[in-house]
Amino acid sequence: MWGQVGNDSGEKTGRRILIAEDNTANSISLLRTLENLGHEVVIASNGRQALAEFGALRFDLIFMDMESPEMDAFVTIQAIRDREKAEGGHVPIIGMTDHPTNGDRESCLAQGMDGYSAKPVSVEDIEIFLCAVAGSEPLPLWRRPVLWDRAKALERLEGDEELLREVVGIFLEGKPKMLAQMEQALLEQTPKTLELAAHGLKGELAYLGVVEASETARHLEEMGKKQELDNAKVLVARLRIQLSQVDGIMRQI
Amino acid sequence: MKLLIAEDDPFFRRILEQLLGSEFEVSTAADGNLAWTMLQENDGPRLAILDWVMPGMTGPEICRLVRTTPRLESAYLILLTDKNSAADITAGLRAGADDYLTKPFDPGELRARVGMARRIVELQTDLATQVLALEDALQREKLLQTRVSLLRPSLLSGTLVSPAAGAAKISK
Repeated sequence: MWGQVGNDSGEKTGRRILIAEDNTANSISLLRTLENLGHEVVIASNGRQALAEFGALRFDLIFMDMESPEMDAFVTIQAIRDREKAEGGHVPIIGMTDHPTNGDRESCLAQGMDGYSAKPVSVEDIEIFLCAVAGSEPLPLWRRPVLWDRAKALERLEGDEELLREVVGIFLEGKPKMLAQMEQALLEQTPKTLELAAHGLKGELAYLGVVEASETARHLEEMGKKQELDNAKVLVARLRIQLSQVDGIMRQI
Repeated sequence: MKLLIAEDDPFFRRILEQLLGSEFEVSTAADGNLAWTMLQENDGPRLAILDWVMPGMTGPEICRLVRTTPRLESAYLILLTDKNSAADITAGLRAGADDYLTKPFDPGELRARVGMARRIVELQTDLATQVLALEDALQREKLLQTRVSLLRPSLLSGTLVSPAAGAAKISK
């Protein structure tokens, strides 16, 4: 369903993406992934090149290495943002780091980035970022992995491990149906269905301590309630990814 | 004590059932209409946790119906909701809920609130029993007075009436 994001509005799905990264292995691997997804990719191996490419072409998204001295991400991003101030526009920039920490988020924001990702950037991450670009929603600061506060869930069940397993089972079983209902609601433009399905998921996710995905579901419930489905598709797609991550985490335990 | 859990989401239904099952005789309903039917049963539950959003009747709709049905008036109703704005809570209480719990609820708070509900239902049951006893005593008193008033003229006129004849007069 990812490929459909741009098709609905009649525009092409392929995006132009700049990879600013001096490690050839990393950039080639990301280039292949992006090209396989049908995007046009330009690689810059240092900050000066990145700026030159930025000046020559319009990009939908930039992936930038945060750690390489060659890139000097801070200076490069500053120059891009300055140019945008003069000429208008805002290209989302995703910082890439080898060892993501909580501090990276703040550091990325402070440097004028819109999100960050661990290396290697996964297909799922790429889809999230592109989805946000397609929906022209402000890029959320991307944290990974989606966190499950299992201890919180267990506390809410008074430490009953067996009950936790049972209700996680109920959640995992009901989840695909609710997602399908949401997607159906978008197809049929029935906001009430979206609202109810999102409401159900939101409650369960919040109870289980999956805060981020619960927030996404809450936004969707609001959209359904206000009958504003324009940006809902992007959010449903994001929720689907978040839930698939949660699914993976929960099934391991 | 009987407790009704009306919740369409099997996830929350199971959690509530498990957390409260050791303390109460729990029955569950997956939609509002079934919950309303169960509340109306003779000897049905007098304590209920009602989800706000359900297929069929919603929690507040059930509250309204219960409050306008004299036989059920004393039922204790707890609304379960994730609507936690002041306006929503007021709307729930106005509809006739006695209390509310917001999702995701803390099990300690759940137990405390349901425990309070249990005490109130028990107090009300005691009170109702006492009122019935009082009404019964009043009835007896009235009956005695009627007997006395029937016997008095006979006593005054010096005619003795057998107890059986007296009772026959009363029943007329």
